[in-house]
Amino acid sequence: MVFLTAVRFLRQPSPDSWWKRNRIFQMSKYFYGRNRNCYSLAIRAVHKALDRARVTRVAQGSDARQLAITRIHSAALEHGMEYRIFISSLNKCHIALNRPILSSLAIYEPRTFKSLVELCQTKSIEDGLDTLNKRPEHIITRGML
Amino acid sequence: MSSATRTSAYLKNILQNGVGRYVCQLQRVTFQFCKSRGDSKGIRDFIETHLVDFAKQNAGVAVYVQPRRHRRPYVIAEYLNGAKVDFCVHEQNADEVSRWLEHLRTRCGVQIQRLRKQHHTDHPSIQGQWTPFVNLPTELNTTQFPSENLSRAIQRQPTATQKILDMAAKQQAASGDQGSENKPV
Repeated sequence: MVFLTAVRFLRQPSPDSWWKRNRIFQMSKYFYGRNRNCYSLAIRAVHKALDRARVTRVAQGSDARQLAITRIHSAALEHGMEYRIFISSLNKCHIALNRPILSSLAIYEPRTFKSLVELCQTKSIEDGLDTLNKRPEHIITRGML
Repeated sequence: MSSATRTSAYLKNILQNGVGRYVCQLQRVTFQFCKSRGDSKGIRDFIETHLVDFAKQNAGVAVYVQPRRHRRPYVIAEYLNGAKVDFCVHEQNADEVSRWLEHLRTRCGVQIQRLRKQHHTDHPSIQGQWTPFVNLPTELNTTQFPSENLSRAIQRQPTATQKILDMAAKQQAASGDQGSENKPV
């Protein structure tokens, strides 16, 4: 009898490394120099890139929100109101507009944004938060705010 | 996978589809399978049970069945815009195949890729986009700078000088009244 199992097990061909390496090279196509062509360097660069992408993904949300807040603050200042009072007055009036929408309004629909600011000015004056500005006369609340 | 190695696009879709008349974007679907291989069992079961019903319900879609020996099973969808999507259904059962087919039937041929923005509009602004001059008074166009009027501080409360002048005026008015009362008739 001929026992071939052991011999065959010893002489197994190694799997083609192209498949494993190409998964890394797909992601390193635009890297600088040998980081895109040499596997040992590319794998380190790719892992770093993926880690940085993860961190950025988390920071994106808060960055976008901060940008919207900055825009709302500067737009409201044009009409003589601060961001914090504007937002708190909006909440008291039960106007559920979020910060991305408010910043879009400030950029693309400036008159709508102005009317919102004036409404909040009226509300803050009626509440007694604002003692410096005059109450806008064209806004009629009838004490319902 | 990092997004820099893949293409990205702005939102673009056949949004007018369904506003008037709905047109199924799937043009033809080809089922490739092997009659003997085990990984094609699901698609074979699907062809036996659900395919004829699918073809009857979707008369606008051309259905082709292609047996190919010793190869993996595929569902190839071709769309009205010329796009081709080949979908491997290796070792999937008939239920999974029919669910993926439903996905292919209801989508259009636009390539699925990362969207740069989740919104698109041809008319972003109706009131006119903000410029630094939108909220400024138009009198500034004809004002000579430096302007005395605009350089003055905004008075929110009367100044001390103003208060004294007001008090003096009041006193004057009061004494004037008293004087007129005491005047002989």
